[in-house]
Amino acid sequence: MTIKKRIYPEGESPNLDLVVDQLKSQDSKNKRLMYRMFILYIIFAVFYLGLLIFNPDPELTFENRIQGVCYVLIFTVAAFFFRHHYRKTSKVDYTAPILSMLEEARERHKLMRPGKAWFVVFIVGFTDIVVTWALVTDITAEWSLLTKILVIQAGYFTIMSLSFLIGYLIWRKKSRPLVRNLTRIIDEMRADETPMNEISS
Amino acid sequence: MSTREQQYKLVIEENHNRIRSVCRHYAGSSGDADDLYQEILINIWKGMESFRGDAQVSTWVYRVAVNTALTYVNKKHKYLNFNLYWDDGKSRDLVSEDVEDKIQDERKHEIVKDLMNQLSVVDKIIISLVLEELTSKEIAEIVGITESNVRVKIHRIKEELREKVKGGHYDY
Repeated sequence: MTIKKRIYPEGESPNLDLVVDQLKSQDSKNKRLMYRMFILYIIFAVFYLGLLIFNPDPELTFENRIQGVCYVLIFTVAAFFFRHHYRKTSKVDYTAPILSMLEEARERHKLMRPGKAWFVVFIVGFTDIVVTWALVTDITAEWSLLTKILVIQAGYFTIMSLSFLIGYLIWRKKSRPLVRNLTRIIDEMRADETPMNEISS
Repeated sequence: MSTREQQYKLVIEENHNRIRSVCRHYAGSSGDADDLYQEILINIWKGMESFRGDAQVSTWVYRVAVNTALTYVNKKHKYLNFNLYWDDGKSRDLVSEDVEDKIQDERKHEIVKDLMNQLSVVDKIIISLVLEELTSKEIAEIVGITESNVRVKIHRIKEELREKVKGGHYDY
């Protein structure tokens, strides 16, 4: 339905009822996505844990096992991050006062929030350390340690950048129009916040 | 019967007319009004757990009812429609008496209804609550804006309606 993704031109106010409908639909999609991501990361965590315990490879070193533990930890943290957001989205109160409901929704659908940013920094940073540690011994080329690290970093951050770009494009298509519409309505609702003494009643 | 069920029953009994009134304002037909009423009851039941008593029960019920109407109406119609009931006298007060003789009463009803449907959704909600004789404080709690903002909005909407009724030319 094209009207759901509509960004209202300057001077034209978005319809609150349509925006709330758009919001509920987007929340519902996000909730399903969060649940799927939770399940996916739980599967990864269990798989890696199984691999860590039952791996029959006799050449598996103590270092490899520590790296395995780190992967399990990363997947578990990611799973619980998505579970937390799934539960938070499930508990959204659409019966709250309209303005606070809209303001909370706008915060929820912003691209980056402090909580999300810290999670991303932690996961990306920690994964980078573990991946570099694991791969640096696997590269057989006659390179110096610094070259090996730089090559790994180049590959890792290329993949991460592409992932962020895809994530941003999805957000721009699906959530940005909603955030803009919410902002317009919030501004409109706050527009009459003028001191009462300006009105002669 | 559990305590929650008893509380729910009591809330519905005490606020039945308020909920019906919101349905009457926003539903297109009596069938729609019944459906909306049922949906509001469901949302009151669901919302009872999160209700912390920070507002009066009647105000909270209005809030749930209005918020439910917001999206419910959208399922049925493209835009939130507002039904204006002229017979109760409250609607007449929205426009001043000096335009009383300018247009006939029944035509004025149609004009005001038409003008009110041109208002933004937030303004429609505020006016519907004014017609329910809620105070600015109660309206502020429902909409989430400040009390003074509510008063400014009511003043502005009434002015707009009066100006349009006075100055417009309508071919009814």
